[in-house]
Amino acid sequence: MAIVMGGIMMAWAMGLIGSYQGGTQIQYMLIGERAQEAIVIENVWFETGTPKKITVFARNVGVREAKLVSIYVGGSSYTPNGTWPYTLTVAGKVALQITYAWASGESYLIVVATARGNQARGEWTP
Amino acid sequence: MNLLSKKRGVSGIISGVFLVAVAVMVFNVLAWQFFQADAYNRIFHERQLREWERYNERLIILDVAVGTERLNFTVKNYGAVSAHVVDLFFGFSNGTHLYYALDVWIASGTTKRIASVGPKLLLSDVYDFKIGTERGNVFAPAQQSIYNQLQPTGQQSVPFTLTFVTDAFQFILYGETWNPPVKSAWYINNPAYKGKHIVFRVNITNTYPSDVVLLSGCNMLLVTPDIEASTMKIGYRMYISNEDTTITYEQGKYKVQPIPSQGQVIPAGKSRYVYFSQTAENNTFATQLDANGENRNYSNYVAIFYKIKNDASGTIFGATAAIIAMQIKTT
Repeated sequence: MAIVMGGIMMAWAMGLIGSYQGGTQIQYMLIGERAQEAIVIENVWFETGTPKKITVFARNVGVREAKLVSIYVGGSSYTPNGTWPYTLTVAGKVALQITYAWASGESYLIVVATARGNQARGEWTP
Repeated sequence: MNLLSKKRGVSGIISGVFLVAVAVMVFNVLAWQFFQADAYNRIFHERQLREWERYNERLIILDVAVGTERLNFTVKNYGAVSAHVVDLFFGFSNGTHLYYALDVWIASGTTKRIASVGPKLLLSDVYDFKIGTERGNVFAPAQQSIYNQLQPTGQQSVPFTLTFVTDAFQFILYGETWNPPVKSAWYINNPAYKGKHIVFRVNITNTYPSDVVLLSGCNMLLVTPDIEASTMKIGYRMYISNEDTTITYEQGKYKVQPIPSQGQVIPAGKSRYVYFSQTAENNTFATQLDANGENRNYSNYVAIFYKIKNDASGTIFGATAAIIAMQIKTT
């Protein structure tokens, strides 16, 4: 009887530990991947014409490809022209162009965010 | 079976087996946790290393050539890591933006000339540009806009400067003092000043790293076109007077104090007023505005003769401290 009880307890404990290890491993994997991903905004062009446009140059400076999913200008989200979301390869660069009626002399906070939650941000003034 | 059939001592063996099993499980969990944390720390350390390299990548753009058909510039890497320049962001002053890919490696502590890149340039072009590296850093030349025309680059040091601020050039008439407010002298427009005796003062700065001594030959020359004769004529020539001099009336003459025999000292890097009124070097007579009234534009040359204090050679230098545009209207 004691052997049976002990066996059941061992099985339960192993299941518990396995479950914990599985969850923690996923957690470690996610934060590890996030730490390996890094993007920067290299430059921003404020383009005249009708309509006015903003082109944001983002570069992947990490060691894992980055999936760009959001671009914010002045706190609002915009969808750039072309393929979106965009997968940025390691050391790759992309020009994200959005239509935006910018005003000369005003400052704009521009944020590009990835699916893993990393951001590149900067304030730019045309 | 033989062991189980003998019931004595079995519980101790069973509990011992369980104890060992539990210990092995605990050890495994701890070891697994340790290896996971170590793997994460290694990833994070690599990230910090990349960040460190990124922050220590420093380039400076030098010698942007002008008057060229395409962009020519030098890049110096004064950072701690080699840099791979991959981007050229080009912008014309009319708002046109262009992008070009570059592929230039610059080792730490070295300079590299990047020539004939970017768009074709005209002499009338005004532009700016930036270069970007593979680590995501962007660098721009110091000057905001570059004019694609050859310009003189020579410089000439000047011993004295005039700051064109409100109180830099002033005058008083007989009966007045230098107590504020004092009138500015660039534009004198008052018929009541006709025939009045006058003292000017100019605030000049000594740009030498040594004190200088102004000599009695310093003068202010007001030159105006003589329209009728198609020549230039001297309206007034005034010599240097003593500091803070005013005009006094003595024995039927309007007089000012002459500069002391040892001259007037302007300390190194300091500004001082220099006064002009005497009609001749070392006399005491104050200059008088045209008694008939005038309406003239003058070019005013402030000529300074000076020595540098403690200069072993004792050289007397001459310089124009300022050329001032003046109008005197007393008609």
